[in-house]
Amino acid sequence: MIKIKKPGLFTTVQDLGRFGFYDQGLAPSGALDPNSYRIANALVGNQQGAAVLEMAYIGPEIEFTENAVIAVTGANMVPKVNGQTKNLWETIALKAGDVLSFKNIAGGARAYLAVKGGIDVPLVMGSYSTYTPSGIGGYKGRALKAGDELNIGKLSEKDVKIGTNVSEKISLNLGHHFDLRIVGGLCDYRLSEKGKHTLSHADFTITSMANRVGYRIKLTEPIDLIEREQPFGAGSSQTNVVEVGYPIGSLHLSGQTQPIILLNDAVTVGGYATIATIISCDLNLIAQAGPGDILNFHYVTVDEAMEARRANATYVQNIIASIS
Amino acid sequence: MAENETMYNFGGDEYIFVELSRPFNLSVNFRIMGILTKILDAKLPALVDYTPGNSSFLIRYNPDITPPREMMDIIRGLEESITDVTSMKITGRIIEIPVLFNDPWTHETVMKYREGYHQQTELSDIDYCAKINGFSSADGLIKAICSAPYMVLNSGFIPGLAECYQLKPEEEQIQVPKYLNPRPYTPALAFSYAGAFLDIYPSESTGGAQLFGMCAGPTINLEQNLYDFQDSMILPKPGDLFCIRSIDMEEFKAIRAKLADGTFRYKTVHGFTFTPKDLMDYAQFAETIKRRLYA
Repeated sequence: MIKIKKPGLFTTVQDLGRFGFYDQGLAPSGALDPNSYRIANALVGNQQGAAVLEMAYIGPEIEFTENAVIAVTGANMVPKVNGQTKNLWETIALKAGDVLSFKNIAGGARAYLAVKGGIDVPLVMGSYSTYTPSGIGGYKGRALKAGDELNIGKLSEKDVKIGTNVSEKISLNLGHHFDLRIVGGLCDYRLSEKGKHTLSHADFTITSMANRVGYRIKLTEPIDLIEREQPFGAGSSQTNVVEVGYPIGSLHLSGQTQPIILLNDAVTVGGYATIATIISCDLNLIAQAGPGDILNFHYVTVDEAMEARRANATYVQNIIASIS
Repeated sequence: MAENETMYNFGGDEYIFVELSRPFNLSVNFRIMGILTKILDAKLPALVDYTPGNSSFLIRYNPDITPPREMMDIIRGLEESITDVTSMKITGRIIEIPVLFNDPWTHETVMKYREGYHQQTELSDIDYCAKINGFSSADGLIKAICSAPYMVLNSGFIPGLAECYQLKPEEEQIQVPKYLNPRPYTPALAFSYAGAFLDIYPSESTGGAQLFGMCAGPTINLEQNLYDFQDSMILPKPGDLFCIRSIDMEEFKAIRAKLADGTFRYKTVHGFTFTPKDLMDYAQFAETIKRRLYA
């Protein structure tokens, strides 16, 4: 069992997400940085799909009441065991009674704690992930609190040698400036050429409204739209469209100087013009960006997005294959 | 681009977006229901998720299984195979939705988010929306809302949200803008309007719709302890018909007490079937619905 002594800022149980319920307004949830999630599970020998803890900005303090094998990946949130510094991206053995805590975050936004066997919470609609807006899944549908006690599961598939470390193979941007690739659409017919130019050249700053639902970002000049007579049902503002489904990673214009990027706990449908979608493998990057960080967007074709997707899959597979 | 031209677009590498029309119209919405049924029946191995919009739909797929252009061709084939939907059968429930208009909770929320959020800073949402729709007071707006049934188009945004369209001619539709910037907070069960659509917020959330009141009953019941939620924790389903009834604070409190002790039940007619053709005469349709509900 693991006992939460301090919860950290926002620590939730996550896996790769809950699919098949988007039409009912239920976002998939799941680890915002699936690369770091996968590598964390691999470092402790878990089956992919095992639940881990996603820890945002401030790490928790956790007492282990049994021997355990753990790994911490993602943000630069250095683990300490009984006050002694340990390595990120490494297979670590803990003894019953050990207390795991974390140094102040020194880069990135979200770290992942995998425990050999996985975090044991009920499977809800096919997933262990926590969707906090409605209180579904994870541990009681919410972020962890002091005093919570979680069991360790049985989803390990192999033993990984203690001390296995993949940090030299990791390429993860934990800086304050992020280049993100986008595919134009869904409603980019609303953008003028000037608007497209702004989208692909301006600096966007992440505001303090940044959580698992999405990030509100801002820029200094408005994103120019093609002036139109608003179609029936859309609403009178130029940024309004008749309600569309919102992809994860989409940018929508709830205000021409303050777009919103939707992440894994997204609202599924809405009536603001969606002007671009971040390609899936770059969502790993934005998971590590936080308030004040600068984003730049770069248009790619769907074929280039597929190429990037394959390159990312190969990168993760190679790291996982190197773990024995 | 013609306003009724069907438009295909990629959303990154995992989504395909199909917009059948820029303006909303009910027959397009029925066509979307038909297309999505066809897509689900096809059991496409790459299909991950989907959601209807109001005049569009969104597909999430795994491009490692079926590459983007191939998937788009498959969706296009299924979309084009659905043509005439006037005789399509739609089966849903008729449900009475009791609403306390001008309630203190949404009113407080509304007045808190004016400057920087709303089109104007003086009026409440309901008074502003009554005014821009040509009603002399909020009462006229409420009467119009209660005069004809709404059809549930989708249950998107967050679980339990009911996005509905009133079954009335286009020229009689209430139409309102969304907030200039979405509010960070909306109380649970707020009754609201955005564009030409009624939205019931199931739980506390952000939101850009104009708030008119509060529903007495829930649209999501995670514990599934209430009668109407035994089969599904989510109430609204596309094709359901909602009849709005204006209630006072006394009745609102009585319903909330029944919710607290688990005995609340919606007044419901189950298994009501209609076709788009039945909507040729909206007034008669509204009469039929009322008769069935209050028979």
